[in-house]
Amino acid sequence: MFNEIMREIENADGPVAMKELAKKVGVAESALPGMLEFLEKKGRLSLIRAGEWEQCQVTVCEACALTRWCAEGGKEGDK
Amino acid sequence: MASDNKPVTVALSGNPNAGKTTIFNNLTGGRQHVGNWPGVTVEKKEGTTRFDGSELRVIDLPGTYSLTAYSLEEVIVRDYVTLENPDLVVDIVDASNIERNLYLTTQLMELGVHVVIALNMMDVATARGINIDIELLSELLGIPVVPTVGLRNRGTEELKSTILSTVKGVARFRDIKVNYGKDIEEEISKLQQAIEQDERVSEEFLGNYSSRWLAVKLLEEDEKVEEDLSKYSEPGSALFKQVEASRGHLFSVFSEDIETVIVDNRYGFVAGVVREAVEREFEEPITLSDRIDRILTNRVLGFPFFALFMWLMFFLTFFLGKYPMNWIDHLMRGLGNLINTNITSPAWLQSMLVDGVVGGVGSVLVFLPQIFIIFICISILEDTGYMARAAFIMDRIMHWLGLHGKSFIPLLMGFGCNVPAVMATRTLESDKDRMITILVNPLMSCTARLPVYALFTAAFFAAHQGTVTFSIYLLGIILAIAMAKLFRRFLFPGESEPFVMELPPYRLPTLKGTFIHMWERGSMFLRKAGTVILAGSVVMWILSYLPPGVEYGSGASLAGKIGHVLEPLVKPLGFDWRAAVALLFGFVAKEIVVSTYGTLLGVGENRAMISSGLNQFFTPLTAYGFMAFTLIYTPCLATIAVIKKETGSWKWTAFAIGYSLLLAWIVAFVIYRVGLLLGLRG
Repeated sequence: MFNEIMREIENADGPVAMKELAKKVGVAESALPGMLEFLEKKGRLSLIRAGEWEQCQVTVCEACALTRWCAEGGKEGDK
Repeated sequence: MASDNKPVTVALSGNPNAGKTTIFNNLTGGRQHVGNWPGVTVEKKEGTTRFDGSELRVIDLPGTYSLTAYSLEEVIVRDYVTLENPDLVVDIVDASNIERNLYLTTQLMELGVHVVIALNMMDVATARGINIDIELLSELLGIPVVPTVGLRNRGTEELKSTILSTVKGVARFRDIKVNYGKDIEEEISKLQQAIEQDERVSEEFLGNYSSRWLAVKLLEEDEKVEEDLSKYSEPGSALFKQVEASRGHLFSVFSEDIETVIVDNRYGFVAGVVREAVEREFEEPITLSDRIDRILTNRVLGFPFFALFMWLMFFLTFFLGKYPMNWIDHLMRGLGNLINTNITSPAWLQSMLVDGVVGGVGSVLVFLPQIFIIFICISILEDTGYMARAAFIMDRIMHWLGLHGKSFIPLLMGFGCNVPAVMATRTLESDKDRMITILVNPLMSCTARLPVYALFTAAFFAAHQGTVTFSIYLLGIILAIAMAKLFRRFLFPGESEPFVMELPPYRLPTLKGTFIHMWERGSMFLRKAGTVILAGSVVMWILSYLPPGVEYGSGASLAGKIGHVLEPLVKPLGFDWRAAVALLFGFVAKEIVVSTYGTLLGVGENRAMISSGLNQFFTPLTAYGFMAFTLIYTPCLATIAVIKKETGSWKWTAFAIGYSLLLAWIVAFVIYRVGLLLGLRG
C-alpha cells in the first residue's frame, strides 16, 4: 500500500485530495494520515500540516516586519 | 493474573482524541491522582474503582498512534505494558476513525497482553453512517469489543464487567496475529527460536516480552529494543547473527526497508478487518472547498489564476492607493511649507529639515497607503486559505527545479520581508534545499522595494503602474527559478522527496482580522521610516550639503564625488552617478533608494517634482532597468545579517551578495542593450 501511495503522489498532476488518494489506493481515508506520517518518518515524503507553512523561524519577533505572518509572531515578543 | 484480593491493574491506551480521558473519568469517578511518569514531564493519571467485589486500578497511558520508539509517549506506553505487566489493556478506539485507531490495536495484540477494545464515540460513528458489526469485529480481532459513548457515560458498566471477565479468563480471547506473509513469518520463527535458545535472554530478558513481538521489533530495527537486548546478548552472539541474516534475507526479497513492509502488512490487516466488519451508509459529500479547489488548483488553470490574483493585487494597490497617497502628499507639502515659513535661519537647519527629513522620509511615507493595501491583499489571500494553495500550485515548478515543495513557503514569505523568510528555511530538512532557498530568497521582491517601483512607475509608466510592477515581481520569480535550477545543477546536486500538504478549508476573512493583520505589518514600515530611513536621509543630506558652499546635491558635493567614483560601474546600464549613490545607500534598506532621490533632488517630498527630476536622469527604458537592478542586487543589511546567521558561513554570505550584484548588473545591462536595439530611447 505504501508503494501505491508514493506512486499516486509522485505521479499526480496536481494536488490530490485525501479522499481521492484513499479511493485510489483502496484504504479508508481515516487510515491515510497515519500511513503518511509513517512515510514521513521514513523520509520518503514530508508533511506540511495546516498552518505550518505560515510559521517562520524568527527568534526575535520585534525584528520582523510580518509579526502575523508566523503563527506565534507578535504574541509573546521575543521567542 | 490478579488474585481475588489483589487489585486488577488496567492500563488505558489509545490514540490522541479517542476519548481516553473521558473513559478514564467514567471508570474511576473522582478517585484518581495525578503525577508524572518517572524521569519525564508527561502526566501520569491513576485511579481506582470497585466492581463486582474486585478493585480495579486504572492507569491512563499517554495517547499514541503506535508503539514504535519514535516518540516519548510511544516509549512510555510500550515500556509500561511490557515492563509493568498490567493485567489488561483497554484500548480506546474512536469508532468514527476506526481504521487509524485499529493500527495501535494490532501492536498491542502483538505484545501478547490481554486487550479489550472500548469502541468509543459510537454516536458520532452512527451519525456519520458508519455501521460496525461489533460481534464480527471482536471475532476477527480475537478480543472483546465493548461499544461506549464516553461523553454520555454509556457502556462503562459493560466495560468494567468485560474487563473482569477477561482477566478471570471467562470472556472470549483468541490469539490472533497479523500475518506478515511467508517470507517474514519464516524469519520471525527463526528469530523466535534464536531468542528462546539464548539462555540469558530467555531467562532474564524475555520475561517481559513476547518472543514474537521481540522478533518483529528486531526485524524492524527498533533501536531501543536492540539497545535493551544488547545488555543480555553480545553483538556477535548466535541471536544477533540470526538478526543480521534475517534482515539481509528479507532485504534481498523485498528490496526495501523491512519496517515499511511490516507496517504495510499491519495496515493491510486493519484494512481487511474494516472491510469485513464496517459498513458505510453513505460517502462523505464533496465540500465547497473541494469544488473550489478543482478550479483554483487545477493543473491547467491553477497557475493562470495565481498570476491573475497577483496582478489584481498590484492593480488594486496602485488604483486605490493613489487617493490617500495624494492626501499624504499634501500633508507633507504643508509641513515643508510650514518649516520654510517658520524656520528661516540658519539656512542649513532649514535645508536639513526640508530637503533631508521631509524630503527623505516624506518621499517614502507617501507610499504608506500602497504598502497598507498590499498587506490587506496578502492578508485576504492568506486568511481565505488561498496562499496555502499557492504552495501547491508552485510545487510542480519546485520539483522541476529539484527543490522541495516546502521551499515555496519561505519564498512566498519573501514577498513580505526576506528576513523572516530566510529564517523560515529552517523548516527544510535538507541542507542543500535550505541553502538554495536562502540564496534565491532575496529575489522575491519584498515590500521594502515597493516604494521604489511606485516612484518609478508613477514617473514613467503612470498608465500601467500595476502591470509594470507585476512584471518586476514576475521577473524576480523567474530569476529565482532560474538561479535555483543553476544552484541545484552545479552547487548543490541532489533530489528532493515529494510533500503532502494539509489544506485548510476556504474561509471568509473577517474585516477586523484583515485590518489587524494589515496594521501589524504596515506599522513596522512606519517604525522603519522613523528610524533607518530618517537616519539614512540625514546622512544623505549631509553628503549632499557638504562641503560648504557647493550647490546642494550637485556633482561637487560629497554625494556627487562618491557617485562619480561609482559611475563607471553603472554607466553601461544607462544610469548616472545619482543612481550609483541611491543604490549604494539602498544597501542599508531598499526604501532609502527613494529617500535618497527625495534628498538629492532637493525638492522636498513633492512627488511631481521628484518625478520631473527623475525624468532628467532616466528614460522609461533605464527606469525599468533601474527597478530590475533594485529588485535583484545585494539584499538589504538585515537580510545579509540573517543569511550569515542561518548559513553560518561568511563564504556563502559573500556569495549571496556577489552573485546578486553580478546578476543585477547583467539583467539591467541586457534590458538596456536589448531596449536600445529595439529602438527605445536610452
